[in-house]
Amino acid sequence: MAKIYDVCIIGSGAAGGMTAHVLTQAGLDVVMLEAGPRRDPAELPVHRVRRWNLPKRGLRGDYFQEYLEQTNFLIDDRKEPYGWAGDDYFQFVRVRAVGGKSLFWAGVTPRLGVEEFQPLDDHDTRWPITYEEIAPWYDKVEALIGVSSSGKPLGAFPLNNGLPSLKPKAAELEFAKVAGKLGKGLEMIPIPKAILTKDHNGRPACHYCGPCWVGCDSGSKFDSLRVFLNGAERTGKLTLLAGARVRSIELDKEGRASKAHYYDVANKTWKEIRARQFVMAAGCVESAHILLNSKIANSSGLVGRYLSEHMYAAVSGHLPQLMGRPVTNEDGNGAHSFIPDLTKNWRGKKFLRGYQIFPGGGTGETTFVGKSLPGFGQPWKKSIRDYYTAGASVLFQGEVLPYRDNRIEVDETLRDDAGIPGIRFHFRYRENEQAMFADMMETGEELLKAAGAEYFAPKNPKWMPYGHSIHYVGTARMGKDPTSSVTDPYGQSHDVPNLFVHDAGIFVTAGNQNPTLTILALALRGSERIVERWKRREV
Amino acid sequence: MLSRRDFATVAAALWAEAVASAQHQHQHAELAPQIAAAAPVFFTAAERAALDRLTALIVPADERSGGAAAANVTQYIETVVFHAQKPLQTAWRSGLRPYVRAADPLALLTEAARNEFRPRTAAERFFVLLKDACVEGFYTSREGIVKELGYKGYTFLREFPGAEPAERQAPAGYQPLLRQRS
Repeated sequence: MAKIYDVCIIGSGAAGGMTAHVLTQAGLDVVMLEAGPRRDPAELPVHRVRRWNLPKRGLRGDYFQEYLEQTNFLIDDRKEPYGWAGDDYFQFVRVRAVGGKSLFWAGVTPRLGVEEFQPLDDHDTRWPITYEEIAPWYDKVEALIGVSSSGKPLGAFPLNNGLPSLKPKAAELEFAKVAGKLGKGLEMIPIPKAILTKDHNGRPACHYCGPCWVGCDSGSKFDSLRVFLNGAERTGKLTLLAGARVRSIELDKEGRASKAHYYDVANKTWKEIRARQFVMAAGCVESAHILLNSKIANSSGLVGRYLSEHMYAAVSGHLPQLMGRPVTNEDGNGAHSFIPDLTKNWRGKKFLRGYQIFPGGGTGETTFVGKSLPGFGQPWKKSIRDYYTAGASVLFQGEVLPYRDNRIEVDETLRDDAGIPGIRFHFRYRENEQAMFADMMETGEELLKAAGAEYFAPKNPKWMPYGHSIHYVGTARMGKDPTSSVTDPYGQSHDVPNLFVHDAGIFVTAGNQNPTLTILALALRGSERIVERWKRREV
Repeated sequence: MLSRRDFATVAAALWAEAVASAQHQHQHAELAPQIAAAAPVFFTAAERAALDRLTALIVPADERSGGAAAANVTQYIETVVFHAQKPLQTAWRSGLRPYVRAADPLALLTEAARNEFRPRTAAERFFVLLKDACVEGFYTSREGIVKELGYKGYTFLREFPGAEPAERQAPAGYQPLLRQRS
């Protein structure tokens, strides 16, 4: 008789790692299935790949992805294809490794605000939980993983419990001076990040060696592998199976999840795992993909629907007051300050919901200002050096409203190398996103001009590709009513009582904050409930 | 337009082998030698020689850095053009033609640069293509980033000092120089 685990977790990223941490600490017998291989942190691109080593130099597509392609951390789209509808290209970033996308995230950890859980408008629906209900778990997660402090609460943006704040850079200070002068109540504060500003729980403080999205060499940035999984394995209660690509979950005669069927990538064979409970933590899109392929937990018809993310857009210019400075190392660990969304209708009624703003700049890795400077040869090179220290940009991250028809569907024609049916995205922005985007461009121009920038409005302004945020949420939304949601407010499936979703699939809205802290808080809350039920022998 | 995914598909096959072998090397070694070994060939020797002259005129060597020649900008351009679609490949080939035979490429280049922000002729449009490629190729190279710009990143800091709040002003004699292309 094959072993029956207490819990099978599918996926090893932030949600899976948190779940494994809580369950193994409590003594449950856990198996984790991760589609990617186990990689040594020494194989991360950090300090191994430099921009000048990249064949495309990060210029033909997405800079970030090229690093990960070079080091084989991404899925090979030819072996595991996915599609999109018509011309609506969707940039679907899939990391394959134990630790998942947490290895490469930028570490930004704002909490969702009061009005992001309970929007003040009538679009769609609200979360079945409030900020006040989830706040204690935010507190616990922040203490556990270590985050830097935002220093102060701002409007609807709550104060976190953090380590010392990140210190601002020169370009950020220039924007901070003028943000308040636009008459919109904008204010720059330190970004909360899961990057240690001092030693914490046995992990060392950040040494500011470069961009965090190439992986962290010291484990100063939170990732699932080093903060959760290594420790979970040391309890002796976690069996971590890497290279285990799950196709489907099978129900028994009583309608309870009983087995996960997976493809053993290394041996090219099919295997199965038995467990008493199953936790989906493969990431919003992949968890929904598995549920759709399993044809379970979908009496609402909403698995894969209400897919949302963040709209990204940017404008850039040059700040004369930063020209001709000595070049110093001011990379830090990416952006150090930001303007959180203040939600109190500072932007009027042009669109619903909000966006946050990351103004910054400085002596970064490179500059392409030479294209906008006349001539060539020595004088031209000198001008480039002058402008290099003055580069500035304003990046926006805005909420995409949840729409029922923004979704993934299984497409039987898109089979992977194991024969598993793949997915097709049906996703586009609507009027609200277009209005928000126009406002972003306006605000960006106002900020740059107020700071005195040399700036040209983009001729054909456009948001970044769908999916660019990698903040995929919503495909198994939580709710109290089984006809209008996939899981209950704890992530427990309405249909299959021993099936849970712990990743961003259960989000009801994207809010405009980065999702990972909320993923961790919800996974912690859901996992503690699983432990309580297990202790009460309700399983 | 060549999409990211098309490029990724073609390029992935080329680099897969190099990267795989690199992973058996010392784990902290940079991947540069393996990647450089797979440079594709598109231009003729004469075209490449013309490109060497042109890129060195646009990004000349000086006491700071070795310019386009030291950064091998020609090879970067060749890699991009090799993977490009036909119309872009044709634009490069025909744009280079006058320079392959030119006795005085600097004069030709100076002439072509006159309307770079409102290019009208084929020669003027090719100058823009060439200049942009030089910017991309040089300022993403080690020569361009580390030597020319003096980039100070990729180093370890015990503390991140942050910037001091201060009244910052444009340098004396500052004149805005940036232009936008039409």
